[in-house]
Amino acid sequence: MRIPAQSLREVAERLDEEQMAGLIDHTELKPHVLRKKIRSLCDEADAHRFATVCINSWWVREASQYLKSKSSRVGVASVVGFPLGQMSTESKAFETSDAIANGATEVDMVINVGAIRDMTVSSGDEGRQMRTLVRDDIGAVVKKADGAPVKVILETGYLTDEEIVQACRISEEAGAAFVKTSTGFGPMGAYPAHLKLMRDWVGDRLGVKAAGGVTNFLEAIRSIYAAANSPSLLRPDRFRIGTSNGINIINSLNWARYDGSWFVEEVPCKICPSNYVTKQPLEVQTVYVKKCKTCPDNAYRKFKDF
Amino acid sequence: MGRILRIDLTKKKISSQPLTNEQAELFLGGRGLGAEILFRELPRGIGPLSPENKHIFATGPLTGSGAPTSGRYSVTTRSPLTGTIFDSNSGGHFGVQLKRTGWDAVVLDGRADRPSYIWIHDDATEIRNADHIWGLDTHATEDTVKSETHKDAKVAYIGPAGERQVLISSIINDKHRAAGRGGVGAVMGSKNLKAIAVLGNREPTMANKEEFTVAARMSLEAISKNPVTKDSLPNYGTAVLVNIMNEIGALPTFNFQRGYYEDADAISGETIRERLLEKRVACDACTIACGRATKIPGSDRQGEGPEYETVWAFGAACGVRDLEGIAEANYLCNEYGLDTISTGSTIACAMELSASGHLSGGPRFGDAEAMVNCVRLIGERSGIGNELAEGSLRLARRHGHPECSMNVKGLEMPGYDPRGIQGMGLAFATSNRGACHLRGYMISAEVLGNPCLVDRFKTDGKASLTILLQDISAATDSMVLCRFSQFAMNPGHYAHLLQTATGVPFTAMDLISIGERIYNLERIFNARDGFSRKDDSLPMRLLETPLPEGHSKNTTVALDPMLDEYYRLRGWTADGVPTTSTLSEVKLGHASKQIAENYEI
Repeated sequence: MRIPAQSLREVAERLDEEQMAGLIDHTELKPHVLRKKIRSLCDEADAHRFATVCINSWWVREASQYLKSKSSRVGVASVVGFPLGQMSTESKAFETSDAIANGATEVDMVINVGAIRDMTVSSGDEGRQMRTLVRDDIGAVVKKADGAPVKVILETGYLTDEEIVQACRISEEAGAAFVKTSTGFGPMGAYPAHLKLMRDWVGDRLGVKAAGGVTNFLEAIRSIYAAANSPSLLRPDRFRIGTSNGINIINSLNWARYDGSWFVEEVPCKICPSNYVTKQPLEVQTVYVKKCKTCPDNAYRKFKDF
Repeated sequence: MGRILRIDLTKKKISSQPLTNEQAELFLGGRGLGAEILFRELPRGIGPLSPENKHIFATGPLTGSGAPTSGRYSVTTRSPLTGTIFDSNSGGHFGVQLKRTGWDAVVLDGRADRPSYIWIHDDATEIRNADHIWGLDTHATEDTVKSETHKDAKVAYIGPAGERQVLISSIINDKHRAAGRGGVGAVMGSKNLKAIAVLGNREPTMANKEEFTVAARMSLEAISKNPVTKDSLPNYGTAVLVNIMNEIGALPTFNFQRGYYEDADAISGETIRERLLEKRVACDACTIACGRATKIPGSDRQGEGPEYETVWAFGAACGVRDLEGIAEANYLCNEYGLDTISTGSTIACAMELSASGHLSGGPRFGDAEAMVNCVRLIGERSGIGNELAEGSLRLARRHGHPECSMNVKGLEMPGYDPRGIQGMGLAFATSNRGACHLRGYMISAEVLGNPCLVDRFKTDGKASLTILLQDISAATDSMVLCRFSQFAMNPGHYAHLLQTATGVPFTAMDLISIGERIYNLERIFNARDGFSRKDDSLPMRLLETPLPEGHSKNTTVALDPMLDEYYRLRGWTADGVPTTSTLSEVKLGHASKQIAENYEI
């Protein structure tokens, strides 16, 4: 995917630090963090006016009460079925109810990745059954979320373009509010090509969340260009960035004020998921590599270190 | 209102003058203040080692405030190595103590008639006899001066190298911290000045203490959230760069003949941590703590470092994989008071001259023992060390092969091969003090991705980014903050700190303009001494000989197009000299007038 430098500059010119902060889910999902870290995450989110803190469901009560004690407007997003999505629908539903009861204002659930893939390789009834299973899996979480927005993590690195599109459609049918790229624990993070594909299919009906590997303002702006390149989409109910580097993104954005030269058209392969396939399952990898070979920008691959 | 201490060593006259509001607002302190004083007071053509040269120690408006990384001081003079205006700064604890004496700067003139040291304390300044410490290494110097002044005094001094006016000698403080580059130690030695000891108890006042605390907290938060300042530097020190630079094929090896070193892992930050590290060390007011207290296993040799530049200069540049040998060379440099970059690079140059048969009896690539011996000989100006003490350019010229010296304007290049990092090449070439990586640290953007990653092989936009980093760096050098703060902090952070500390409503754009002013002032200082486009260049090897291997293979620096663009954006002539209108725009009209009346450029 090509992203012209001028387009990046235009996106940056429309954004200030406060608006960027409002798009960020300030994230901490590592299993070993302590209470102190969760409180500090909340303090930071409150100080910078991030959209939410995005945390494991165990910490929801702690974060929710702590933010409430500060009269903070920051929301609490609980991940559900994290990070693999390979648990029963009932367990995801229960985790959702529990998170909501503990104060979660949003839910980021992991889709049943294996079922999505099974759906596309199976034909006839079996395929339809899998589709229903995925839709019901999401639907159960949406129901238990009780009106709180549900973001469906597709884990795009495990999926082909066709499967991403299917996952977007099913998420919408099941009542999700957002589709989200990755957990940060999978084979790849958020790439502009995936984000654009997702936005193309959900239109302005759903939000799109870029998560995984967004660490500075340039990556954030590329994500915005791909998935929220209009004023009606550049708002917290239509676009989010999930990152543990939110403060760094805000701080680094300040540099963009003083020089437009940060924004250059990147070599397309460098921001293309087909260039980062080593952790993918072989059959998915094969599809990405095949796509790369027929890409109009394939000439860049001739230069080993482009 | 600040104060400047003036000491005429020839006449033994001590006086003071105010730091004017105009000086403080237009040039801040540190590097900027040094440039302002030097330009105004030092005529063209003054010999750097003559008594007429000036030597300025300066702090900045944030020194002693507790603002992150603000515990530094700077030294400005005319360099005997490059002939340019030159500032060098150092961390540790000397800067804060100098500020606490109540002086913002100390300007030294003349030459003492015998070895001397200066003791500044409790509003008193003494010039003391230093006959008994002349000849001592830096560690013994510090211990002796402290025992004669006060145990809590902080001392900056030269070692035997500075006394012998070795052109690559440093000023050392806290035994292991250096105002390293450009031969500033030789200038101090030429003045017969061995040391300056300081002790004070004046706490700097903040204009808006409450808001300053907020600004400092926000800056600290940025540092604690940036991957480089929160993880890489604290865990592995600056030497974390060894493997990174090698991986991209831009670790200069065998005196820049290659960009990839097979034995890089043996000298990496990771290996230093495993084999030499005793504990981390921080300068005043710093939470990064990139310093490494180290010890050579099985010996009593200990000290700090080696830092990245040092481990590169004595390691890859000299083809030496012996980490203990590198550490020993590093310790010796600190004890003699030598710049590790220039010392290692000059030895690497001698190694290439030897290998090509142009220098008989010189050290050979890979010979750690010979390398360590060379450091001793340089410090003592003995044997071949007397030639090496003049730096690589003079050495290579003497042996008929100046192309073997990897320098810009006479200053040895640091450990980044610009063939694989185009913007860094432009920053080296246009640096007002010669091949310095810190004037505009393009590695940050081109390699480390701070604040974002830009393509290191492209030249488009590099002139503009180099100017931005050079200008903001000139401003932060004048606030006398550590360059590493720039990985995490942005111009907004710096402005917030400065406005709350001084009460002057500086904006981020003001800071960049101040940096631009300082850069232009340094440039015309050099221009009146004949520096121009011909000096804004790189060693021919980097422009014409592609790297033979690694991930920067087949590249050279495309300097000329970047330079044309750079001059155009700077508002300088095609020969690299600021125009009259540019000088007026950056509020240097008076300097322009002085130039017009006295010089032809």
